[in-house]
Amino acid sequence: MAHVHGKNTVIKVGTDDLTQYTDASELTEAADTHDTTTYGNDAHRYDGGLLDNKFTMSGVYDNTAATGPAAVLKPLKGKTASITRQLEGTGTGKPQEVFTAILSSFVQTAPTADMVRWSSEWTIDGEVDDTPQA
Amino acid sequence: MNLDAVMTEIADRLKTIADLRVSDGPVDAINPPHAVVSLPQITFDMTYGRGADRYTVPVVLAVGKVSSRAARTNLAPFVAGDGPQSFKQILEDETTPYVAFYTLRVETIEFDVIAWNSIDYLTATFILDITGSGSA
Repeated sequence: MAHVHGKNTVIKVGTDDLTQYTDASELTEAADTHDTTTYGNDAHRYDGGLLDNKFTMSGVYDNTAATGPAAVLKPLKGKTASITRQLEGTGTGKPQEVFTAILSSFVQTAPTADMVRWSSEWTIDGEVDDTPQA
Repeated sequence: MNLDAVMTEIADRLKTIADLRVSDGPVDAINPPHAVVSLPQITFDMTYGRGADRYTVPVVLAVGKVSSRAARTNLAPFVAGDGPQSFKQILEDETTPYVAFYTLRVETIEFDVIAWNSIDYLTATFILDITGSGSA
């Protein structure tokens, strides 16, 4: 067991590799909870519910015409895409998360004293496939 | 980014300023007005997969002996925000894009007295913020 640095992470949206334009990504795997507390309990009781997952990714703007983040992501607003994230990079047996998600927002930020940046928020449709890379 | 190519390209751009001597690396002696492109601080991994790196490059400009009354006056056009001798304007001019890196910004200027060959010179150190490819 060892700590793993984030620099080797690979991110693909469909067949487009956005790895080199991305410096942060976050997959939140959450679930609904249902309060089932009845009389006689001294604390709330819960049952688990449906999974409800979110994904965000962001990075440095790049004006590469056909393969940069703006060119790839802007047309996907409100649409569904397949996303693949490989936290430890590419390699047989290494972890991989594959899921389908709807791009709910795409933001480009231009601070005067730093690089232009982009960020995106995704609502995951269905479950996340955690099967390691073949 | 390649260190050699980055420092050379910065120096080449500064050489377009009239009557300014420019060195693309550390030197033993200077002859003011003289700009010296110094070795950078390199920050790796701005993005995943070796997508981008960041260089912070100091460029030291000496305009004359610190005892010279004209030194401050001579410094002014080089540290101005614009003008034909403005480092800010000349280095950030994107009419001709840089080849060795993506972007350059003159971020700050600090003033100091630096000695070369036991002579104290009034200097301005320009801090350049440069980003470029991490894999090329």
